[in-house]
Amino acid sequence: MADASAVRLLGQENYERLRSSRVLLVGAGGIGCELLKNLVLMGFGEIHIVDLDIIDLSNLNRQFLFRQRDIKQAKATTAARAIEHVSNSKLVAHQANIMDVDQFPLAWFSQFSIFFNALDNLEARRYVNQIAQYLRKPLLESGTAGFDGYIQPIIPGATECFDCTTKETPKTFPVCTIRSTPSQPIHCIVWAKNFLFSQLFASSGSVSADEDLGTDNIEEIERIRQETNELHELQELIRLGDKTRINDIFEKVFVKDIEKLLAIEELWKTREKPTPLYNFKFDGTPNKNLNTVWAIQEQINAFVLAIEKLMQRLPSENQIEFDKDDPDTLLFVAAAANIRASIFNLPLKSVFDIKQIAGGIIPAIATTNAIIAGLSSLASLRVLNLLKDQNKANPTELNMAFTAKASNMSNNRYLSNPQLAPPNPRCPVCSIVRGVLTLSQNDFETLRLSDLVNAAQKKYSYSGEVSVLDKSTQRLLADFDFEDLLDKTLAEVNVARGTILLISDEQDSEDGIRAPVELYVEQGESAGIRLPDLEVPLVKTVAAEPDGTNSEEDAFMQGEIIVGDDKNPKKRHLDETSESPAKKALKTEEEHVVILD
Amino acid sequence: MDKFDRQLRLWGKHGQQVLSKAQICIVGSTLLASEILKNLVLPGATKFHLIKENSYVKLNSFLNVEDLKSLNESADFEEEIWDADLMGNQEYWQHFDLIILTTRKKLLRDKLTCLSIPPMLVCSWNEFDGYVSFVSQEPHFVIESHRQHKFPDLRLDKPPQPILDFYESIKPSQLNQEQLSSLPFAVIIYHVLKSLNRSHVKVNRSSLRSEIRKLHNKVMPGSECLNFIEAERYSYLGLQNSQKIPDNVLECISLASPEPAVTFNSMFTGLVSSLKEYLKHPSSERQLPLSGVIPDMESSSEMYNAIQKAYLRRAAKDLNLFAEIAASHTTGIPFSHVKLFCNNVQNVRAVKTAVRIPTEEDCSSVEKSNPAAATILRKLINSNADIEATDLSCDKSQIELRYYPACSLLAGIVAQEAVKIVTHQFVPNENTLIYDGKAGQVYTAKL
Repeated sequence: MADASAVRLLGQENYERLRSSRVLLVGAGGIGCELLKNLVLMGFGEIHIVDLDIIDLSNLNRQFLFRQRDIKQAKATTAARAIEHVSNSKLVAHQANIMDVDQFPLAWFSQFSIFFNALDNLEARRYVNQIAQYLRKPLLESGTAGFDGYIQPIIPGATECFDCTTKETPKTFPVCTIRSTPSQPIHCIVWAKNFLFSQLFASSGSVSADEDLGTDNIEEIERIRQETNELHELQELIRLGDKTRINDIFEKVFVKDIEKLLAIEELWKTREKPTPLYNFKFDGTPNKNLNTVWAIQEQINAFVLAIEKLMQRLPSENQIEFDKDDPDTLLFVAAAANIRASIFNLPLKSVFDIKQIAGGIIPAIATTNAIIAGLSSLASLRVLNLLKDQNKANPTELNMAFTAKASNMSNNRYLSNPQLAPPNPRCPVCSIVRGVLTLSQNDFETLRLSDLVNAAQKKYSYSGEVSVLDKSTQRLLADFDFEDLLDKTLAEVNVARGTILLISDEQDSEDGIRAPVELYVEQGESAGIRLPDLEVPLVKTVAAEPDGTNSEEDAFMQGEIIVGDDKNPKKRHLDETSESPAKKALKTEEEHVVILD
Repeated sequence: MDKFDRQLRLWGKHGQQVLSKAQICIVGSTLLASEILKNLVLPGATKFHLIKENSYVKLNSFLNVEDLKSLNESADFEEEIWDADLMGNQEYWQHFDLIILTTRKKLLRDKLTCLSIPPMLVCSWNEFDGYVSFVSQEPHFVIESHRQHKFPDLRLDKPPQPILDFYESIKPSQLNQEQLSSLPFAVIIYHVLKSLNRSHVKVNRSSLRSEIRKLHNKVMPGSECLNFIEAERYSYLGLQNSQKIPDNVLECISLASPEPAVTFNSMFTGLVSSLKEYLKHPSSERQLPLSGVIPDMESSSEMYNAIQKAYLRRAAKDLNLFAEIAASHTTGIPFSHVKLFCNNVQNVRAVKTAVRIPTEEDCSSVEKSNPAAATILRKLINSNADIEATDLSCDKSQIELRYYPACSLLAGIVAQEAVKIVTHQFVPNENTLIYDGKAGQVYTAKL
């Protein structure tokens, strides 16, 4: 083995540590493929690769370990196989969801020296971040979107964690805007995808009685309910596969439903009225060009063709989920959205554009992934103190890195690399005191929720009421005015291995509140509730900080375009709200997923 | 379904086409070269010319040409061995759109230094450090800079026709409450600006804002109208000077040379000189061609459609005039480029490149502003000579292998810059980047 050079650069001792290190790579996609190659060529002893996904054609513009012939194969195993022949590391691939607690219990994670996140979704990022906090293991977080990318080393307890800063989440819209009064093309796209498509082909959901529809108009609420039920009937029609009924479906959605909306006069006092699509006919010629905005007749034709195909598929597939890369579902959604947009006098869009919006597509290129994977692997050497002649770095002297906006390089900085900040004291994740609670199978079946609540109150000196939240499923199990579940056993309230319980003080006394405690439930030998020894401090309620002002507009006036953050990379906004961490955790978790690849 | 779907959203079909046709020459059989090559094959570049230092060096075992070919079957790799006579002649290089110089051989670099050849990315790395320099005889121009924060170009100070007529056709004093609450913010700002000017009040952001707020309170006492709130937020648009040509445009005008060698630049020069003519033409009202793109505004669809129509009509008129001037002024600029230019003229950019392959002298000039960067650059320039002395023996290539992350990072950056340069989209780094891997720092320098 020609390791002499590595030994020379890292030092003998560090090199041996590198060779005996086991590392976890979560994600074998854009960043993952590059990162796997780097980790292998650096000489890490053992690398575990976890990815649930299979390879898709649109991955091949950047994921260099995959070829055309690998499409539909598992990413994790294919990647490991593709790099094997140059690898000196032991490679272990898992085609699985990293959040699967049966396959990957907490103890499994503890074998690694470091975790590398190369993920494309917020949920899994948050999950691994949380695991890192439990185990006090370093995490190298990374992500890219087009030309932009970042890495962030996270050293639990010493530097800020993934959730210390608020993450951007996609917009949500009130139900009534989507269902009754769209005013932008995106409202029609959301309607076509999340409402019409899923009602006709996917679920059989109905509007529940207490759902917030974002309107107080009783007439409108009644209308929304009725429409949902009627569409459910249409699904039955579609299941029968009778193509002659497509006409009825069309008429129902684009004529009758609109007429019913028009009948609610209150809605149109300050809005332009929609025009039902009377006298429609299908003349069969589809437009093949996905990049142009089609005429309304072409939209109608595309809609009919797509619905015919989906009708044919439904009996054998039972239900069809929207998939941006499934042309039938994409064309259905695009045409339906555009027909609705035209009814509401809104601009139409090309299929290409609708695909991006409906599919939540984030642009992705090979080069940015190579840069970010390079930075991530280099940073890992520093995080693990594997560099020769370098003193053990103080964690806050480590750097994170952002690639400068590709189009905004006037400030002479290609990468911004601010030093890591200390943990945010109001972070909904890492500010929380946490530990592991091990229970036996018997405990789950015999212990009641009230036993756990009482034990926690006593052990951690909560003076009064506490609330218990199951963070994994976002269920409230108990609080001061919800005591129904207290007498149930832990098994009955679905507390099991991998459940994460958040126990918070509900009593806001003058001294402040007792900090919340988070418990990861493990299954083991132990009998009875043996809560971990944790120091749970009293915290004073902190007042909110004023928001910073935006300098964008001023910059425009001076004829220079330098935008906020680039000027001062160290200054990052903390979350200003003074809500309790528990409430905030609930809120952030509820929001949808933003995709970074 | 397209393999390139995820990137077409960045540079469009036209950008993809340019990339796939670009003639890219990579000099040097280094590990860095093979990583760069991979990073360019993936996004779909297909025309590669690879020059090896000598006949016995090989690309590393898993990023060889056969392997890369399987990433993109239409990729074409022409391999050649360095030939001092042939390649010492600048004619040899002329048909390349970009040359990427990765070789460690001083001899080769010295030879190329003496030639006047197409744009180059000169790069090298060692252990944890690396640099890349954008070298060209001419500045680099970008039409589609894809600026992240574009400012709405509404020309509220001097709306050209028919936009002026549109604004004048609305008389806020004659509108009822409901109509006022559906006025787009641009209309509000226009009229507030006009009334301030009429009463000789100094126009600035605070006078605009307070006037908008006053009007807001007058028409809708005690209630919050979204369009008025937007008008306050966008009040700075009332301060635009539509006849002031932005600095980035002026820079492009001053840097466009009359006799460019780079193909794109000769077209760009044609566009820039047409622009000068255009601004002299009375119909331009001494304003840049309008893109016609307006932001979303709270308003009735009817009103929004009307305002949008006015801007689009003006933009179409500007484009026609510009195209006419361009056609009479220069020949052979495709209409698609004229259109791109008119749509993006507010954000066109010029990048000043380094004019030669970095030398010891350049290191000294970097020294003054950034000693750390100068040390690394010097080491990298000299380490080329070192390695050349011992030649590419097996052991040395193993050093590269072990310190792969810096190589991988640098190759990502070089390929990123290469894509920006050949597509003339997005703004490349100006003009030298130096990476200090041990400190985790990236420096930029203008050589």
